[in-house]
Formats: sequence, C-alpha cells, structure tokens
Amino acid sequence: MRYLTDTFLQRLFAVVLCSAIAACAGGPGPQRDVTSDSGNAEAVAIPQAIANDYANAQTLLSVEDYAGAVQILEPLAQSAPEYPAIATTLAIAWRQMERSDDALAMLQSTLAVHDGYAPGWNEVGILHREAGRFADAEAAYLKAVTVNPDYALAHFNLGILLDLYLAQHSRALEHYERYQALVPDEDKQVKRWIADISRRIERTARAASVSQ
Amino acid sequence: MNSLTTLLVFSWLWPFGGGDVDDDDATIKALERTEVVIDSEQSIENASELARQNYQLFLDLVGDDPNLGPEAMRRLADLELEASEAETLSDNLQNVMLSSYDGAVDLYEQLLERYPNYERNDLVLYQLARAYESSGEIDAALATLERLVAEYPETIHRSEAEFRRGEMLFINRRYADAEDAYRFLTDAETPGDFYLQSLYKLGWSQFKIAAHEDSLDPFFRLLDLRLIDSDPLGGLLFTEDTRRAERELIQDTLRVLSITFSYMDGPESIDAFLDAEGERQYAHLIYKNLGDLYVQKERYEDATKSYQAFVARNPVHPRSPLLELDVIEAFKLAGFPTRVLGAKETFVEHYGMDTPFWSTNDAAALPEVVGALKVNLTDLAQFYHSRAQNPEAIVADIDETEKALRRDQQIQEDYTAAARWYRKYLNYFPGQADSAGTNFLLAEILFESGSFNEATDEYERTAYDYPSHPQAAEAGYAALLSYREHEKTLPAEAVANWHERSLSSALRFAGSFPEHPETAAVLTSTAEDFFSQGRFEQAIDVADDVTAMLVEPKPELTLAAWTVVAHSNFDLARFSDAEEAYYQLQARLPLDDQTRQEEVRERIAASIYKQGELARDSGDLETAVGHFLRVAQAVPNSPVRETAEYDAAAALITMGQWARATPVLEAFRQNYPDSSLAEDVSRSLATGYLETGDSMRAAGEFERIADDEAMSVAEREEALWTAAELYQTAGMRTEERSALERVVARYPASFDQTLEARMRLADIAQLDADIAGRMRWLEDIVATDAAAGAARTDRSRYLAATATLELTEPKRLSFVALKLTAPLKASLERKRELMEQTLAAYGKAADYGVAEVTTASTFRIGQMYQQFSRDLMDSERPADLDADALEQYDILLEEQAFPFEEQAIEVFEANAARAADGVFDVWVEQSFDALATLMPARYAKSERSGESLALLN
Repeated sequence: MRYLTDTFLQRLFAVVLCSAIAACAGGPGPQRDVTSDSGNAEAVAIPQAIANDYANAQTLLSVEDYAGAVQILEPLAQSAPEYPAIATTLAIAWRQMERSDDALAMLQSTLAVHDGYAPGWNEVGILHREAGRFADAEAAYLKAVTVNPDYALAHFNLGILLDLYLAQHSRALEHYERYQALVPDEDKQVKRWIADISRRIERTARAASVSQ
Repeated sequence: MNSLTTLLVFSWLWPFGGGDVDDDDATIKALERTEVVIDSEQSIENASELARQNYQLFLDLVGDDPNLGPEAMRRLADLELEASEAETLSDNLQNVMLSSYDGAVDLYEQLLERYPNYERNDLVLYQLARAYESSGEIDAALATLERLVAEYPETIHRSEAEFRRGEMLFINRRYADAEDAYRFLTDAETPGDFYLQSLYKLGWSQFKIAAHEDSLDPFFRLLDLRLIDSDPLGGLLFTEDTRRAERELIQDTLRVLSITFSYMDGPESIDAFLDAEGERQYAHLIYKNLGDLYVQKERYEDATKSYQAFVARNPVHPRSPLLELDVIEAFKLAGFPTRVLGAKETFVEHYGMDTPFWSTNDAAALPEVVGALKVNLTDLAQFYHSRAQNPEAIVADIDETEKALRRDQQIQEDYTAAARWYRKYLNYFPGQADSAGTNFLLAEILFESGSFNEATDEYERTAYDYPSHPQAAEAGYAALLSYREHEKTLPAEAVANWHERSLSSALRFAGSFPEHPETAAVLTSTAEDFFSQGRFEQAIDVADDVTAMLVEPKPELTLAAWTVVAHSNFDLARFSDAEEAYYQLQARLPLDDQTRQEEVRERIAASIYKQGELARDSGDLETAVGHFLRVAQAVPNSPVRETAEYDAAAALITMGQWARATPVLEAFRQNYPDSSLAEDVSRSLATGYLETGDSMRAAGEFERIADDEAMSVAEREEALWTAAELYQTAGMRTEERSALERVVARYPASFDQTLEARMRLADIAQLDADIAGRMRWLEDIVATDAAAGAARTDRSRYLAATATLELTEPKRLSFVALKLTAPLKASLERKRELMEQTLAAYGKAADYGVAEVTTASTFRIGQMYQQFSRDLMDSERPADLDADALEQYDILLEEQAFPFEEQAIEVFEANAARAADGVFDVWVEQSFDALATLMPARYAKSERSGESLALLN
C-alpha cells in the first residue's frame, strides 16, 4: 500500500503542516474534546500533549515517514496505554518498516487490555495474512467484526482473504457485500470484485451441476 | 665343817686325771683339763691357827677327860688338817709339809684307838680318810672310806664317802667297783649332792668296761635332768639351775654318748634306744653329735646317715633342716660334689616353702633355714645352668653320634633342672631383692634351652613385674628376641596371635625403657611390622615416636621410620602428610643412593598428584589444578607429571577455564609428543580453542584428530567436519573447502554428511564466484541423491531439488536473454528449444515433491510462459513489411502470444491456489503479484488499514 511518494520535500511539508495544525488545535486555553470515528459523542478529556504527539505521528505516516512516526508513537504508546489507537498506529508504522514481529507483539499486548478495539484486530489480521498464517488472519478479522460488526475495513480484508488466499468465494462475497453496505459511498472497485466473484461462483456452481 | 669338805682337786689328785690313762682312750684325754668343783662355799681362815694352838693347850690339860678329851682331840685334828690344807693351798705344791698331815693322821688314829666307841667316830674316819688323801696316801684313804661305809652305813657322810670311794676306785681303774660306789648314789631314793656327778661317772665306769648299752641309761638320765630343749641354732638349753660346771659335764656326756653310739651301731642304735626308752626333745643333739663325731673321724658317709636318721624320724622338726645342712657340709668335706648336689636337692625338696615342713614351722623363727633354702636353690640352679652352658664330655664306650645325643639330652635336662630350681626360688621368694635377677636367669635358661615361649613370659615378668632393677630393660629387650625365636617354631595358624603379642611387648618395651639403646630399633621394627600388615594408623603412631626422639636414632632407623610414616600416610590417602614425610625422607637419604632417591621423588610426585585427585573428586577443582601443576615444580622428571598436567588441563576444562587450560595442554603436547594421551589432548585443545573463540586453532586441532590414524573412523570424520565448520566460522574458506573436499573424498559412505559437504562446497564456490565450480557441486548433489536409492532422505531430496532448480537457472536466463530476432523462425526455434529444455528441468525439479522447489518451479514456468508471450510481442519485426503487413503481422503475433499468456495465468493461479492449502511462500506470493499484473481486476487486491485512527472510539 502506497499513499504518497516518499520525498524529502513532501516530508518537510507534512511536518510543517502538522505543526501548524497542532498549534491551531492546542494553543493556550482549555483542551478541546475529541470524538471517536465511531461517532461516540461522549466527551473525554485527552491530554493535549498526547493529542499533539499523536497528530504529528499521523502526519508523518501520511507522508510515509514511518521511522519518524515510530519515534513519536513508541514513547507515546508506553506513556498512554489507555489509547489503543496509538499502539495500533505504531503497529501499522512497524509493519510498513517490515518489523512485523514488533507490530504483532504491540497489538497483542494492547488487545489484551482493549479487546473490543476492532482496528487493532484488523491490523492483526493483515499481519497474519502477510505471513501466510491464513487461519490466524481469518480469526483476527472475525474478531474485529465480532467486536464491531460495522467495522467495514475488517469485512473488506476478510473478503480478500477468503477470496484470494482461502478460495472461499461465497464467504468472500458476503464480506465484500457487507463492506459495500457499510461504507457511506459505493466502492466501485469492490463492486467489480462482487460482480467477478459472483460470476465465478455461478460458473463453479454450473460446472458442478454439469459434472453431477 | 663345810670348810673341811672343800676339796680343790687338781688333775693329778683325781683318779681319772692321772697320767697313766690308756693311750687308746683318746677321747678321755679331753677330760684332763676338766675342772670339777664339788664345793667352794668357804675358804680357810688364818684365824684357825690360833684355835689349833688353843686346842693343843686344852688337850694337854684335859687329855684324860672321857668327854672333853676325844672332842678336843678331834677338833685339834681337824684344825691340823685344815692348817695343812691351807698350806697346800697357799703353796700349791704336792709335797708341802707332809708332816703336817701326819699330825692330823696321828691325832685321828689316836682318837680311834683311844676312844673306839666315840659317838662321832664316823666323822673321825671321814676326816682321817681326808687326811690320808691329802697326804697322798690314797690306798689308806680308800681303806678308811671302805671302813667308814662298812662300819657306819647310816652315817651322814655315806654319800660323800661313796662318791669319794668311787672316785678313788675309778682312778685305780677299778671301774666295776667304782660302778657300785656310784650306783649307791644314783639309785638313792632322794638324789643327793653327788647325784649328777655320779650318773656321769657311773656312765663312764660302764663305758670303761665296754658296757656301752648300760652306760646309755645314766647318761640319758643325766641329760634328761638338765636339758629341756635346744635352741634353734643347735646350742643347748639348760634348766635354770644348771651351773656352769654341770653344763660342761653335760656337754661331755653328749660327747661320750656319741662315742658310745659310734661303738654301737651308730644312728640305728640311737633309733633303737629312743624307740625303747622314749623320744627325747634333745634327740637331734644326739644324732648331730654322733654325726659330728663321724665327721671328725672323716667317716662322712656315717655322719650323713646320723644326721639323716634324725630327719627321717622327725621330718618337720625345726632342727631337721639344720641336720640336713650338716649332711651337705659332710659331703663337701668328703669331696663328693655329686652327693653335695643330691643333698642340696633333698634339702630343697624337704624344706621348700611349699612343703609340709612349713605347715608346722614359722619361717620367721627359722631364718637360717630360709637362708639355706635360698642358697641351695641358687646353688642348684646355677650349677645346672653352668653345666648346661659348659657340658661335661660324655665318657662312654659309644659312638660319637650317641655321645652327641646323650650330651644334648644332658644339656636339656640340665636346663630343665636349672629352670625348675629358679622357678622354685621365685615361687618361694617372690618379693626378694634378688627375685628380679633370678627371674632373669630363669628367662635366660629357658631361652638358651630353646623354650622360647616360656622364656618370653619370664623375660617379660622380669622386665615389668618387679620394681625398677638393672636388668629390667635388658629383659624387656630379650623378651622381644624370644618372641621372634618362638614365632619361628609356630604353626602357621598360631603365628598371628603370637605375633600380635610380640608387637604389644615391643611397644611396652619402648614405653618402659625409652633410654635403652635398642628402643629406637624396636620401635622402627614394630612400625614396619604394622605397616606390612596394613595397620597404617598404628604404623604411623609408632614411627612418629622414632622420628620424635630427642636424641636422633641411627640414620638407618630414622630413614626407616620416615619411610613408614610416608608410605602409611600414602596408603591412608593422607597424601599431604605423605608428601611432607617423603620430604623428610628425602632430606635424610644419602645423595649417592640414586635408586632410593628416585623412588622417593616418585612418591613425592605421586603424593602431590593424589592430593590433586582427592581435591578433584571432592569438587574442589581449583585446588586440584594447583596440586596437579605442582608436580612439575616438585619433581620435574617424574613420569606422573604427564598425567598430572593432563589432569590439570582437564580440571581447568571442567571449570570452563579454557584460557588457562589451553596453555597447559599446549605445553603438555610439547613436553610429551608421544604421549598416549595425545588424542585426548588434541580433543581437549580443540574444545578449548572453541570455547575461547579461537576457531582457527580449534580447526587445526580437529584436523590433527582427523589425520590421526589411531582415532576411529567416525571420530576422524566428525573431526574433519568440525574442522570445516570452524574454518567457516573463522572465514577461512580455502581451508574449509579443503576440509570439505576431504570429507567428500574420504567418507563416501556417509551419505548425509558428504551431501551437506557438497552443498557447502557449492556455496563456497559461489562465494568465490566460481560459478562453474558451484554448478559442478550442484550436479554432484543431484547425481549423488539419484544414486542413493533407498538411502535417499528428505534432506537429500531437498538438496537435490534445490540444486536442480538452481542448475536450471542458467537455462532460464539463456531463455530470457535470447531475443526473438528476424528472421523469427530461427530465433523462435532456438527459444522454443530453450523453453522446452528449461520447462523440462523445472518439471524435474518439481517432481522432487519439495514444496518450496515446486512452488518456485511452478512460478518459473508461469514466468517463462509469460516471458515467451511477451518476447513474441516484442520480437523483431521483419524489415520489409509495409504498414498493413506489419499490422497483420502484429495481429498474428498477438494470436500466437496470447495462449502463452493464458498458460502463464493458469500456471500462476495453480501456484496461488496452494495458499488455500496452507502453502504460502515467496513463490506463491510472487505468483499472486504476477496475477495482479496479468489479471488486476481479480488479483490486484490489497488489505487496508485504518488510515487515521481516532484516539477515542
């Protein structure tokens, strides 16, 4: 997965931008409330320093400065373990740096505390799939959709796993479709995949009936 | 009147004092000097002269008066007689004034004649007899006395008259008449004043007429009257009222009795008399005097019989031992040594302290007997002892062998006898000052006679059972010699106990007599003995006593003692003490005694080494190493050093102290190149180098092992392989390759090992950029696996499969490199050919059934199809085609190329489908990548992460 071309100028730009945002967001005065991407409206006070550091890390990640992001995220994960997003983001950075073992260990320790954190289980599924541990990957994805059945990315990734690596096309179709149903805007690529896999399922079924 | 009765009789006046006694009566002569005092109550007074003169005047006046005349005459005669006697006494002359007696005689004669009926004429006769006797007219005197006893038998002077008559008759040798006169006195109902003398003279009278047996009665009556007993020394014990003169009389009686018995049948006569007349308390005097008389007469045999006769009758009489001593003395005087010896033996047998004699006698009261017993015991023992040592020659008409036999027998008997007497002495007189000395002599006797068992006991008794004495130490030492001699004679089963006793005795000797010159030798010998028996603790204790002596013993003893201490400690595994003792020993050994010096050095080395062993066995390896390495310092040339240094290294290795171990091992190999431990050294060194990270040297050691023909094939192969691995670790590829090539060449039977070696050789070739070499080894791997048959393993298949895969790679590269150029047919043919060959090769690789090779081959096959399709499309177009033709040509190419692309997709999908079966390697993953390119709509699918995770959810 490549988001941007990693160039020095881009990294420089991103850091500068990030700093500007952080300055605007933080500044003197009371800390602002941050809501989760799941739409939880409960206002929780997040220390400003943590929020700032985390924002900076995400910025570096967006420009594929994984090493820079890790530098921020690693101490942050230790000092603020109550936020599984930090550990999961750190794992994502390590996976990009091909430090898959570190990433998996970090996730496992976090998920031991935050068992209901679906993005973490999703990331675990990716790491297992890349390592060829398909059963473990499936279990992780299923855990993600179990703890959060509406977590679309887990359905997406589970669909790929079942489609390409486990040749379970019907199940893949279900998760592609679940993904498609969860995302606010139709994913055209996934739409094509659904059409393709549906054809293959149909063809297979036909072939099976012919052979019978 | 008493003064008148006083008679001082000189020898010449008395009948048995006359000079005409027969010469053959020699024994009577002894009486010549005998002084017999009858009465000495008063002396003559000078005043009597005046009285005599007055009586003469008075007689002149009253001479005719019948009453006063006779009395005055008698008194005057008495005074005359007294005056004469006084003169005689004062002048002491025989013929003094005989006329004076004549005056008295005349007066008495006149009186008798003038007054025949005078009432006191018995007194007148008595005085007349005196006057005659005094004037030397013995016959007249005797006649006067006979007239007196005849005419006046009842006179009060009868006893004296009879006695004086007897005396005169005796002098005149008229013994039978004298016997009658004496018998009047001895037969009297009431013994008178002359009783004792009469008995004496009666006996003599009878003796004179050889009536010996008759004489015994008066003599014994006399003795019975005055002797009550004899004192222990044999002297006479008289009754209290026995006067001195009487005592002499009794002594003479005893003497004449002896003579009498000697004239009779000697002691037998005494026996007979006593049997008949009764025992006498003083009988021993009779026998002894008789014996003594015989001795005087040199009739020794008779003398001893006399002494012995009493003893026979009175065996427990306190005087019997003295008489037996007289027997001994008699034999001595006689010059009969054999009889002396016999008598002494008899004496001891009769009066030994355990005989019945002492049940009725008190030793304290008879010291002379006890003394004699001691003397005789000693004499006997010494005699036999001396004779045993200096045996007499056997004089007999027999051959020399028999003589020798007898002589030996005699010696043995003498020794036995001497021992017996010494034993008796010791038994009788246990606490005497000379008991120890006697005991020593007894021990000596027993030893000399070969009775070592008994000698041992006696020597020990002499040494230890008496208060300190000069011979104690010598006896103690002699006991040890005796122990040794007796041990030689014992049967095997009895030796042990006896020997044990001897050791105890030796220790006792040393403890009791530390100053004895042989003590050190005894202790040393004992220590050696204990050592030889394996009783090391005792051996050490005893030997320590030797080494600790204030005055150092002889060098050889000290050496022996230190040897015992050292060896014993060594055998007790007290190696530190042993080492110290060996140093002591070493310091005392003569330097030129090379043999023993060498032995001691070796023992020192062994002691040190053993200390190391003990420390090692107890887990104290550091100490063990110290000892092991100390061997070289202490005894550089010791054979033990080799083992010690090896063990030091081993201990260091066990401790993991490889840095310390390896120098020791290196030195070992340098010092002992031919050691049997060389193999272990190499092994240990190799391990040491490994442990210290010195792979290069470690590899060298393993190469040494690998080349050592003494090692087993397996060890050598393992070593060579290990060497190769170490060379690899050390980055020494040349050496590694060499080692591996030798593994392959030397051990073809080791299929797995040689296959791995080949693989590594292939890798080395690759590292060395030796492509041809690598290919060669890979081909070798494939061929080796193929030829292995049933020996093939998963590993061999894997290696062969990967090798096959790699060997195919050049073909694939050739295939990829070959461009399709115009004219297409030729190059296409070539490429197709290459493709078929390569596909076949991949197919062969896939046939091994090795997953990763299969996926790789599959991927490569797909890749080749894809490549071929692409190369067709990229092939050089013919130059002479116009645009239409070119378009047609391209369409034609595409039709040709598409099936290959389809084929490629099919192959990649087949590979990707393995993922669902759990096979997901780089080749499967690359197949997915290829498919993502060839069929992006289906395969270009990537997972997605949360791009921007909110801190809170």
